[in-house]
Amino acid sequence: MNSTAAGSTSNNGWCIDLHHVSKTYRGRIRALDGITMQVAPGEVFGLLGPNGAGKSTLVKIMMTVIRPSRAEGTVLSRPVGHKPTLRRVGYLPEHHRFPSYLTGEQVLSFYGALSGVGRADRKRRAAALLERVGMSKWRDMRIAKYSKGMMQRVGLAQALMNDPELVVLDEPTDGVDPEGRKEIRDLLAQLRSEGRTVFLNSHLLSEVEMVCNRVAILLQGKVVVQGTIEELTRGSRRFEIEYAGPEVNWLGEIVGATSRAAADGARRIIALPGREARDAQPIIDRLRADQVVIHRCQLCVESLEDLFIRSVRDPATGRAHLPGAARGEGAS
Amino acid sequence: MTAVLAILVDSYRELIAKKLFWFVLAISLLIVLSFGSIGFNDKGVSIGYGIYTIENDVLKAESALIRPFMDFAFASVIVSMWLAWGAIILALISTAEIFPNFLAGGAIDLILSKPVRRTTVFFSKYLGSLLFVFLQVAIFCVGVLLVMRWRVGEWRWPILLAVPILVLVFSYLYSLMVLFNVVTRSTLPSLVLTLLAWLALFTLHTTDGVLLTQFRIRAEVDRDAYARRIEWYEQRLNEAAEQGDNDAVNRYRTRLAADEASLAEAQERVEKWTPISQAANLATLLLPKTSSTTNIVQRQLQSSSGMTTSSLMSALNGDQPGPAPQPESYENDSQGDMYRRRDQEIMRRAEEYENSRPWWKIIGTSLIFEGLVLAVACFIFVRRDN
Repeated sequence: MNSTAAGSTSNNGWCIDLHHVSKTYRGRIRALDGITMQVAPGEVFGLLGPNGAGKSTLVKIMMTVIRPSRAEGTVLSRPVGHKPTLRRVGYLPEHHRFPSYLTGEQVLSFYGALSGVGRADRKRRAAALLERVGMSKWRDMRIAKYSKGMMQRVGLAQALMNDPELVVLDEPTDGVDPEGRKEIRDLLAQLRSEGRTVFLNSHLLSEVEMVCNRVAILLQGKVVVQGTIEELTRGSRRFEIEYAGPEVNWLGEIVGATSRAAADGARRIIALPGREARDAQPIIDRLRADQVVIHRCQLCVESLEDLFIRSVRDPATGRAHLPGAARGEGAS
Repeated sequence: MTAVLAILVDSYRELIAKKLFWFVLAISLLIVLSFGSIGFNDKGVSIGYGIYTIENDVLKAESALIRPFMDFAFASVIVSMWLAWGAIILALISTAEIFPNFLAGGAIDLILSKPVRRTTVFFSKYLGSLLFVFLQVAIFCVGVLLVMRWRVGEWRWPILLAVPILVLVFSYLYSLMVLFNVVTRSTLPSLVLTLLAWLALFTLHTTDGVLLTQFRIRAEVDRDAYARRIEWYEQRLNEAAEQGDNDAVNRYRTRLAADEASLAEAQERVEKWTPISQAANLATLLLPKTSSTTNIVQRQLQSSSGMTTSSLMSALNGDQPGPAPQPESYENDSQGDMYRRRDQEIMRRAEEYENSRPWWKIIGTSLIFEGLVLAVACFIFVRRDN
């Protein structure tokens, strides 16, 4: 990694600092609607959203593949769309297609050259990166003979050919087996430890949860939530007590406590939002005094999946928003 | 520069990975071998490396016509038929999918995400695609050069001019294909549209050529022939009048009256077809000129050997090169002889006209067309979201 990578900060301190990013396609399809998003240097940032939410469009705007209808802000301290800055960015697109007539090593050399990497560096880095993604054995085999997983590994190596400060990965684990996914997660952790910023676009919430510092959820071209997973799930933190028996009549005396039937119907669950185990002790004592059998006492925090489902559902109907971009009157 | 070079090298790898590349190369080598089988012995022309001899009194060992004949065989047969048609059609088929594959989702995303300007990407890929024809024609011409050294006994360097010329001809058509590629993003429609455009260009240029040779030049040749006949008959008429030969005077007057009517009719045709031919020529001015560009190779070879096709044909037929010889007497001139002289003269003048067109004008106007087509294609490529 080059000397500027570790501390790559923009003037405002963000590695990616986007404001009012909008994209309306022909046919008045509004893919993005005023996106504002910040990614700190050295963090792994996860971009989530249902199909058609605009995730790939946003990534492609940052990578100058698509022209925005409007975009303000910076990527690595330079305006969005500044081509020379892409020398410092690595990118793995979703559904990428490498030329089938090239070998793995030639693929790395070709894309490395397009990123401005010199010949000697290309050769050295290609060998090292193929080793790093476990593809050295197949370096001279034509891409046409690669499996999907092998293609992803070479794709990841390709994204690192120019020793980037920022790595943008669009569905990097797509088509990769569980073992390969773990290796990719480990690689992302290594990239973070090397001080690189990783912008990860993925459907696999469990993976994002495992590796990302911060996430944003996109819905119909808008950011609905953004922050660290801890910040975003803090509101859901609660202590739950599950017991056998009917609803207790004294629960109203405890501020904020709620009660609901458990899944099996015979038990009930008392939830204490924002409370810790210590706060639950008097309730447990009271239940025990009433000879109630307690089945479970647990501190509960919403998972990223719960957060995602909650974010993409319409609060009024409780149903998921229709997939896809916005279209119609508001589109401009 | 690193990026441009990378795209060119990638194009080279893409081309040699195609089976059609090797197929075309194999055909080219077969043609070179066939060309090399033409030899000359004491009896005439031998073919099949001496297996068969076609007896010929003019074209045989030590003849001065060997070099112009081999030049003619290369430029008029091999270049004009194989390289300018067969090889280019196969090259268009081979390269038809290069841009659609390049523009396909997932492939173009990665290219455009690199720190290279879109115009640089576009033109580098375009140049890279021309490598197909460059490599094919270069290998072919080196083969022909060796054959010429063996058969003619000298290095005919002007043969190598076919390399840039054929690449140029291919580039006129390929620019159209790239435009169709970026608009449709499909291989087959682009190929069909390009072939149709080529057919349309061929039709327009053929119409221009037919108007020029079969109407305008033919009328001019007829007018000049009748003018000469009238001049001859007037001289004979005066001589007959001086000698008091009334039968001859009457006969010549009858012939003169008929020829003057024919001259007037020919002059009328000249006046009618000259503006039409000029308009057709003007209409094709800014269109790519594939045949005329290919002919530059022949012109260069002719200029270095000092013999045009028509004069070579005259020499092979045992005639004098240059304008068709006029008969000593028109009185016994048969219609067949007259038509033969006329056809020979039309060919000579058409060749003279073609050779008088400056090469820079032929190439320059074609390149203007190509430049405009590429500018539109590049504009679409640069502006389009991928």
